[in-house]
Amino acid sequence: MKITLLGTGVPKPQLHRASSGYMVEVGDDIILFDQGPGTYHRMMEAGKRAVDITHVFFSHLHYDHCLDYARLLLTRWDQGAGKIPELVVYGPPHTKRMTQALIGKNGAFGPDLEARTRHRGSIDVYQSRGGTGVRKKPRPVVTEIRSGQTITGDGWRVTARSVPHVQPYLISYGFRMETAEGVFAYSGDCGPCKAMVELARNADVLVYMCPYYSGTERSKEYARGAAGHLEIARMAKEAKAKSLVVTHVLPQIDKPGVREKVLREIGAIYEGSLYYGEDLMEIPLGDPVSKSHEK
Amino acid sequence: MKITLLGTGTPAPSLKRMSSGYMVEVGDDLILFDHGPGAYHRMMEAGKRAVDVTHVFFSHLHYDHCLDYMRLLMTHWDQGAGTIPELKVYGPPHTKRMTRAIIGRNGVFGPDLEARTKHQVSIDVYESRGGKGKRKKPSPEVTEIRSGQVIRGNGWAVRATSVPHVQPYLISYGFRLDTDDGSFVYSGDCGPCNAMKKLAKGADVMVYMTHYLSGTEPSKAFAKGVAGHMEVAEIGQAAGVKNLVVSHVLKQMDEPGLREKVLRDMGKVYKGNLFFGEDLMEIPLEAPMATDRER
Repeated sequence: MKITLLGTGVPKPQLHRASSGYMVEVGDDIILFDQGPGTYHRMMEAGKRAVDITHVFFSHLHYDHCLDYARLLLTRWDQGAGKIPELVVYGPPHTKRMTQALIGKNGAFGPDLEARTRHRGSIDVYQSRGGTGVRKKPRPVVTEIRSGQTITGDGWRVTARSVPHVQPYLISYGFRMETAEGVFAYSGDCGPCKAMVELARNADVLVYMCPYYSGTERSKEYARGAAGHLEIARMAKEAKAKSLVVTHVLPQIDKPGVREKVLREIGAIYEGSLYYGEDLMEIPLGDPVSKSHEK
Repeated sequence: MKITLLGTGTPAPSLKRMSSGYMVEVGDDLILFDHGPGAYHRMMEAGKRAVDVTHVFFSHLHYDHCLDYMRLLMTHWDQGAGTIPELKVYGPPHTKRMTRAIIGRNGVFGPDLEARTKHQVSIDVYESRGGKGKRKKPSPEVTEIRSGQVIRGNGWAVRATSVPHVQPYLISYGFRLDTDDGSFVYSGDCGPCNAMKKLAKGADVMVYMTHYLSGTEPSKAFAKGVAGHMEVAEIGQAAGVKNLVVSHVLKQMDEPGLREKVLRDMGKVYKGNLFFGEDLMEIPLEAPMATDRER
């Protein structure tokens, strides 16, 4: 199992941090957890192509967690030329409607898909990519999942649970992925909650959205739907997660000196391995091991 | 007037060449011609932000020319926090429907926009960005233009003309932008045609999709809707274009030796200044000149 952070940023566009997205490789599967704007680019930089992706899980449908879905879907279909299985997608309610709004007849790319499946020029391209027979439009396998539901794959299992964020406007999930090698937990976007502690129980790696410095929240309501650094430390400690990855950091924290302060204060509460997430960082399952000088 | 190539690639994903997109700065306006996947990233690398963009023109609605529209739209709105004018968008028929499919109530980001305009978490963020009063959803001014139509802006005018590509599935336009400083012509995607010869007459800069090595086209139908390098040279020469930019290049010709061959071949027919486009290249209005050695 290999865990790579693709986007560790927030909605505010930043060249050094794409918006939320994480990639987990298990056996022959490559699974994305969220795909915000910029994560497709990171995926390419990580050496993967759209056609390599097998599954996508969306925690919630804020654009900074799902905007690159369109790019993934269309590129995978176009480059795949009918030779690979359809993309398998899981997400909260609206995921199906979102998919239709992108690739349905009247969707954003409805006319594009008509053209690419009918016009001689595009059929030529399709065939040059190995495509045979009538070119079909993309038909990802989309499942809208419920809180508590478990999805089972080849050597892995993902459980979703509702977590507090911007209800009632968006349903939001946290995820727990179990494999023979270890357990990965991801908060999506949420405030402090028992559900995440449960999902993260004894996890090898817990990725938690840590946008702000505890105490600087503008309102109580804000703090209910988004956790600060101290709340996250407490939850990771309670769950006994072996590693904690700080991600989805606002520019407020992402400054020299402030970063270190945040890590020190989290470290005073949480005793596992701590990672200050960066785009393309690989998170090991075990302890971070320092190698000898020369390597 | 400043012309920057953002994406000089094709639908094939490439870290070196993003899909189609071009940026022209005229006075206080920042105008995009097409915005394919990756063009937004290049725009950031060029030092511009979504909120800096004032106008967008779509040549046609193949995804490799418009997929990043949703990233531009959502970011322009979210970061703009109601303090900037709405984006002005011009494109062929379906542009309005595409916009609704992205931001309409039942669109891709319908629920996102409900959440961001109603939930206190998001209102807090909006206010911290300078937003005042009730937060409104994005309402870009979208105009579906016709062949021959002229759009006037502050010190510039853009004319659209129908060009052959994948009719009848998509209407496709070529554009000519005229300003006091000079003129910029863009083919969008099209085969060799009189429409472009006329549109480009005496232009300072023309960007023409130069997709493949002439003679290697898979079919006549393909060659009618997509130009090869010799066709582009011929049009550039016939129209008397000063600076001709080769763009939308397939990997086929993007190889050492082949690039040079393309330029040499084209140079036999086209006597103006040739540019082999690359992402982020700035194209001057006047003839390129070698400056003194040390600079």
